[in-house]
Amino acid sequence: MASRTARPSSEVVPWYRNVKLIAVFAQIIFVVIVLIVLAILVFNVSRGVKTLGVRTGFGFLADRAGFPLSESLIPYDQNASYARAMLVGVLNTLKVALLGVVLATLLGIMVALMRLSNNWILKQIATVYIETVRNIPLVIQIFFWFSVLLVPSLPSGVNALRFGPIYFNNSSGLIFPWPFASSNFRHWTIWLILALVLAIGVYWWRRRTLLRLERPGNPFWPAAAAFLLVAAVGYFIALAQSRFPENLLVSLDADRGRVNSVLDVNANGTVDNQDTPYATVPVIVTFESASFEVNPQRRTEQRKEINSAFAFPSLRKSEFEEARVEFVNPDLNDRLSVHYTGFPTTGIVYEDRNENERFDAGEDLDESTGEGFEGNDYKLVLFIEGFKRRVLTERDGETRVPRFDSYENASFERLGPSPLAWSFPNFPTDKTLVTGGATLSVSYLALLLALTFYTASFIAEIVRGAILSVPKGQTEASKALGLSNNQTFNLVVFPQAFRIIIPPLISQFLNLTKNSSLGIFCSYQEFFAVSSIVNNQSGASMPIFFILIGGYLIISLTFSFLLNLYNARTQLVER
Amino acid sequence: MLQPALPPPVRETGTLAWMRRNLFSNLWNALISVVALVVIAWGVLSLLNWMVFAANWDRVWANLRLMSIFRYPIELVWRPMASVMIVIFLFGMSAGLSKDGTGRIVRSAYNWMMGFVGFITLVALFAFPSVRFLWIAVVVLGVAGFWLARAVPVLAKALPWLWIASWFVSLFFLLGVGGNGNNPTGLEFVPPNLWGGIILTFFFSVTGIVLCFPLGIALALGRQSKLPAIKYFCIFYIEIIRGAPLITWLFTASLLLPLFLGGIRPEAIIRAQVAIVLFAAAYMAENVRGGLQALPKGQREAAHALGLTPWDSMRLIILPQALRSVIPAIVGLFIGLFKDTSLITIVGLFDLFAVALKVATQPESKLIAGGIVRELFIFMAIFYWFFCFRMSVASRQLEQELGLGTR
Repeated sequence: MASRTARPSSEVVPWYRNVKLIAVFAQIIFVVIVLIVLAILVFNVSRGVKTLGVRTGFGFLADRAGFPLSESLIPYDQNASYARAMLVGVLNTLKVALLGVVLATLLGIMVALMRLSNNWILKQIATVYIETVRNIPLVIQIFFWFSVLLVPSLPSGVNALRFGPIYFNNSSGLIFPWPFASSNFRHWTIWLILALVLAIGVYWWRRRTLLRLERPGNPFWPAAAAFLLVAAVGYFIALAQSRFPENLLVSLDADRGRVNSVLDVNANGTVDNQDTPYATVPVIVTFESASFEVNPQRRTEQRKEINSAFAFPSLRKSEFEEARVEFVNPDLNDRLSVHYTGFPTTGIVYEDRNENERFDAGEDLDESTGEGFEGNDYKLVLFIEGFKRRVLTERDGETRVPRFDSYENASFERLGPSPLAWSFPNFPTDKTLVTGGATLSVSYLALLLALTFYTASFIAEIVRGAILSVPKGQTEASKALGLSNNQTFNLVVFPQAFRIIIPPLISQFLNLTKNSSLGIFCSYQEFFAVSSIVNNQSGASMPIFFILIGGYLIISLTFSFLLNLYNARTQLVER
Repeated sequence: MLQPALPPPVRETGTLAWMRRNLFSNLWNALISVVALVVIAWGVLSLLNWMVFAANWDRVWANLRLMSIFRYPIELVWRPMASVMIVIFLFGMSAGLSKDGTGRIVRSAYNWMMGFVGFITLVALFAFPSVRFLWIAVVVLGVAGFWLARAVPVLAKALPWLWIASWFVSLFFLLGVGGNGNNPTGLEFVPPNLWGGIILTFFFSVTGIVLCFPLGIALALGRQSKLPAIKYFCIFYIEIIRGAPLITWLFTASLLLPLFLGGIRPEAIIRAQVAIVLFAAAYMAENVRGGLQALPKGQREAAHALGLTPWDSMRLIILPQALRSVIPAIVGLFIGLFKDTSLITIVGLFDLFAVALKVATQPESKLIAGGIVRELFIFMAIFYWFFCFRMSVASRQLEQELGLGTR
């Protein structure tokens, strides 16, 4: 045994035992199998295309979409193409994902700190929150925010909850004033770019200085100040440069309740088909006196039945000098009274039987019939004196003003041009329609809240784990150096925890983005929802599959590429 | 020089000291505690008040069968129940055979499960006479499994095979074979489009995790392979699948699978299951890869040095250790799958969530002011929360237990 000599190296290994050859063969066999499977699939698909009438190719993308999308970041109407509809979907996905990521991170950090706090009750709240939210499927949480909470509990139409110029109802969502870029915005862009470049410069310079001097401080604030200063100065210069076009034609059609702004292309001084719409012209509309008429109706608000409720088009108190509501039938003015839920446009008609000059439960029903004061017999009229409203024309060169049933001396005044024009929301009719301002729909809010709360529960655990993983000696050492609790956390513990947080945080961000595809469960029109509508209409399931998967892959990969760049940077600082 | 005597320490124990330390350590904390306590008390009281007095549970109660088994024929309800019995029986055996360490975790999960089953049995005893005896049988089998395993410890060897067999037997019971209404002999075939509700939720997630397991291991090994063709194929598959959300894969499977199969149109349930398995496999692969990478290189080298073939070293040395260390991650994946099954409504299947939506739109439900969405939500939330929370507790315990073992 011991005398057995090593095999002479010249002996040739048979080819079937040659590891390198086996590897090559194995791969060839694998590739061949994969190719055969692929070939079968392709064959089946090509046969299915003929027999099942499935469309292939991307030509369908140019076809007319023909369906409406209620929210869009870019101009879109039913005549737009499928491609544009899907782009709207992608932008809606990004809109919910980007804000969701920010909010979920903030909430997650907050919950993690609560869980680490030395207040027992805060700790318990955070624990219960985390253990509840992450153990219930996201779909069911979306169902909760949308169908259980927001839609049934918010009032509808002009009965919206109001916080100054901000409205919140269950048909439109959260509606708030918003500055829109006008055609004069271009005068300001150069200043914005300048401000941004300057801010980055200030950031770098300040950071280097701080590092050189070895002094604490945040380079962000000087940079932000520089940005704001240049942007503000630039805005006033841009304002001075702003002009409306010479042939801008603004007109008020008080009978239809509309303001038009067009470019008078053929210079005939009247609005006609050839004129092109011109957006974001601020106009003040004035009515010396005017009136609306409505019937009281029965309504369900916040899960309660309300009888004899009325709603005029919404007016703000600052918009008129005087207002009063009366019954059209003069006899009723003595018998019935009006209780305002929002003066002067919404309220309830009641009969003050106990004569306490207040609306009490049950008084909104007629004693003899047991029904509400509803319909034409109880018609109400709202008289307004000195009505004045500032409106902004929209993309179609048109905006609505209240359509009064009768009015005297309607006039309007065009305001000066500016790079940004503020638009205020209004309800020009007593229906759900809303014009002006910006809107976050109920679907969007429900999805955003669900994604934020769900993802935050995972982020909180990541942050907590990372903070706990920083050795205790670090805290003790900084305490020994005389740092305060806040300084210890901000300067010593969190920066070290931060590096551990980033990689799992990236995967949570990607999860949130992918989970936004569940928006279809609260009728939020994001990428997946729009794609599935397009699929139903066009039948081009094969190309849509590629677009859908490719689209999500691109979003995911871009996200993770950018975040990994950032991650690489934070990791480098360490060593 | 004598130092003056220090004052006696303030009492550091007892309720008051605890409250001072944890609730009222300073002004801020005291303020937060009081506000939080008031808000919580108000919130919990109004929720309880609503649940007990205002909520209308009649429709939920009346639709319990629909939400549990959907349209599975009521006279055949013993068949899904038989699957439950098999699983509980095996669960009991596992608990009976379990020893210290991880076994404690299995036993405590078993106790919870029996508590839950006992609760349902009690409810069934008084309210649902049609399934009363079936649930009693479940409890009896659960206990019997435990004691049988205690008495015959040799069964431990058969247990893994019994678990695998139980899946097939359950499927057999649920689906039935041959026969139909006119031919009562044998097990009547129940088409999967009649399945739904809770039973579908469970079946889907369990089948998903069982079937994705071998595929996930293969993909993980493939990703570690030195052969570029196999390696890049696996990477491609895993990353593509993980890059897009599950809902798009469900959509794809439901629309394109018939096309890929040349016009053969499998049942919706099979299409959705295929999507879930292929989807879960990618995540399973990443979990298993984590276990493979965590394994010290010496293990592989030692196996090699002992002269084990690559296949044997994989089977006997590497995989057992790698898989053992990723059990918590696999439980986590299962929780994810269990929650994700609520998405299959998108391909027209009726899991618990979809049935609940259906119940919410029944004309009788709409007659109730404000509808019954709140009641349905609470019901579903409690159902999912109970199982997911219990599993995540088990997963955390396993993590600790296994962590101690490897160190």
